[in-house]
Amino acid sequence: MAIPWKNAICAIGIIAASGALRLKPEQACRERLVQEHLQEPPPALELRDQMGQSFYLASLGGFRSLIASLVEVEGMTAWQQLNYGKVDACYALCCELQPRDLHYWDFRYWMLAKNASHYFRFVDGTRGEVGRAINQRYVDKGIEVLEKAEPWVGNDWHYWRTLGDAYTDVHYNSKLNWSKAADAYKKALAIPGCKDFVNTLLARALAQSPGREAEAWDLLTKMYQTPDHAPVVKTLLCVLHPAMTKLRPGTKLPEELAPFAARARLLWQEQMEKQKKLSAPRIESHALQPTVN
Amino acid sequence: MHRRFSFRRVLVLAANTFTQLVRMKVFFVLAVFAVLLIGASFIFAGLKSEQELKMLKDLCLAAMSLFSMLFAVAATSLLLPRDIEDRTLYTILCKPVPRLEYLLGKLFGVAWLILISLIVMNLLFTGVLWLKHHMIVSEQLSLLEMNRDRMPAAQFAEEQASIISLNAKQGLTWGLQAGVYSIFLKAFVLAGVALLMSTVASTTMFTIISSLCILVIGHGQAIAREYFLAGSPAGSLPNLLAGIVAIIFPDFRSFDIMDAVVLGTPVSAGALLQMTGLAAVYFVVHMLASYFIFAEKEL
Repeated sequence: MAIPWKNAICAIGIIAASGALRLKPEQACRERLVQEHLQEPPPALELRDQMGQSFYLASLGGFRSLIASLVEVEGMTAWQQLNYGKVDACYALCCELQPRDLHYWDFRYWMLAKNASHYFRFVDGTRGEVGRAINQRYVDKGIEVLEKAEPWVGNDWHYWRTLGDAYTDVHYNSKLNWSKAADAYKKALAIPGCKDFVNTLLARALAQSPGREAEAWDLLTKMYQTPDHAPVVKTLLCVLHPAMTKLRPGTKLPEELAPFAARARLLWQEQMEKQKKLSAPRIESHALQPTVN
Repeated sequence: MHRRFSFRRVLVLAANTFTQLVRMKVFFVLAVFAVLLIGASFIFAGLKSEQELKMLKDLCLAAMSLFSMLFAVAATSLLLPRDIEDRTLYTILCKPVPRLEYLLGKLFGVAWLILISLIVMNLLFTGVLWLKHHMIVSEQLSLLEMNRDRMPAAQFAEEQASIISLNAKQGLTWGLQAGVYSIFLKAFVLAGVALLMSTVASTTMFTIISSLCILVIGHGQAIAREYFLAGSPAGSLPNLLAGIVAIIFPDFRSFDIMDAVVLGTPVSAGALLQMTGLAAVYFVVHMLASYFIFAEKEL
C-alpha cells in the first residue's frame, strides 16, 4: 500500500504551511478565551509532583474541574482523619486548578483558620500549651490564603465578606483587625448584588476601629432611618455617642434612644470583656512550626 | 450526468458509515454513561448543594468528552481497514466515486455518530441536572418557608432570591450547552486527525496509538506555541522544536471550556464562532492532507 512520495510531500507541505498561517489565529483564540475567563493558564510544572503524572496530564486535557473535585474528596477524607497538613495540601491544589471558584479558597481558609485551629487549641491534648500557640498560626495562614485569592475572586462580594469576617473572628483570631475588616466590607458593598446586612457588619467594624468613629456614626445614623435596621444599630449609636460629642460637639442621640443609652453601654462593655477574653493572645511558641506549608 | 463532486454521494456514504458503526454496537457506551449519571446523582448527595451540582456536572461533562473522543479515534481508525478487509472499499471506488468523496463520507459518518451520541448524553444529563437542581432549590425554599414568621417580609424575599440566584449558576445554563458544543468540535477535529493517520497507517493499532499521541501533544501545543512566539532566549534548538510542535499539531486546548462552564461562566457568541472557525480550518487542512495521501495510494 505505497503512497507516492510527491503526494506525501504535498500533504506535509499543506500541514506545515497551514500550521505557520494558523499560529496567530490560534494565539488570538487562546487570548480571547483567557480574557473571557473561559480558560486559565496551563498548570505550573511544580504541580505535577503534587498531583501525579496522570492527574497532571488530565488537567492539561481539560479535566481541571473534575480533578479539583476529586482532590477535594481526598481532602475531605484527610479531614475526617484529622490530617490537616494533607487537607491544606489538597485544597491548595484545588485553588491552583480552579482559582476562580471561591468555594475552594473559602474552604481552604475554613479548614485552616477554623477546623485546624480549633483542633490544636481545644481537642489535641498531646501538645499542651504549644498546641494552643499553633492555633494562631493556622488563623494567620488562613487569612494569608484569603488575601492571595483577590486577583481571581475579588469581584465577588462573598469573598470580601469572608475576608472581613476572618479579620474579626473573635473566637479564633487573637490579632483582630477591625479597620482592615471595615475596608473589606466596604469593598463588598461596592459590588452589585451585595446584601444589606453587610452594612451592619461594616458599621460594627467601623465602630471598633480606633479613629473611625465619625465614619461609623454617619453610617449608623443613616441606617437608623431605615425601617428594617438591625437592633445592634441602636446599641452602637448609644455606645458611640459619648465619643462623638467630643469629636463633633453638639452631636445628638435620637431622643427615643436616650432612656436606654446607659443600659446599652453597659451591655456592650460586658460583651467587649467577653470578646477580650476570647481573643486574648495565646502563648507564643517559636519551637514548633505548624504542619502547613 | 455524472458530476465530479456530489454532496449527495457524500451524504449517502456518511449514512452508510453511520449504519456500519451502529452495527458495531458502539451505542452500548451510552448505557455506561446512563449508569454513571445515575450513580453520580446519588453518591454526591451528602455534599453542599452547589458542590453536589458541580460534581455532577464535572463527572458528566468529563464522561461526555472522554466517550466522544473514544468514538472519534476508535470509530475512524476501524473504518478504512474494515472496508479493505470486507472489500467494500473496492466496490465503492470502482464506481465513479472520487476518493475525496469517500473520505468526506467517512468523516461525516463518524461526526454524525458523535453528534447523535452527544445529543443523547446531553439530554440525559440535562434532565438529571434539572431534576437535581429543582429538588435542591425546593428543599431549601421549603426550609426557608418554615422560618417565614421569624423574619421581616423584605428579608424573606431577599433570602428567597439569594437561594435561587446562588443555585442558578450551578443549574442549567446556556454555557453548559456551549460546553457540550465545544466537546463536539474537539471530537470532530480528532476524528479528522484519526482519518489522516488511517490513510497513512497500515494497521488499526497504529492509527489508534498515533491519534492518541497527537491528542496528548495537541493539549500541550499552546505551551509550545507561546514559547515559540515569545522567541525564547534559551537557544535556537528548543525554540525550533517548539515551533515544529506548534506548526504540525492542532491546538486541542482551544476547545477546552468545560472547566469554566461548570462554574457558570457565560460563553460569548464570539468565542463560540472563533472555536467553530478554528475547527473548520483544521477540518480543511486534515481533509486536504488525507486526500493527497489517499488519492493515489495503492490499495
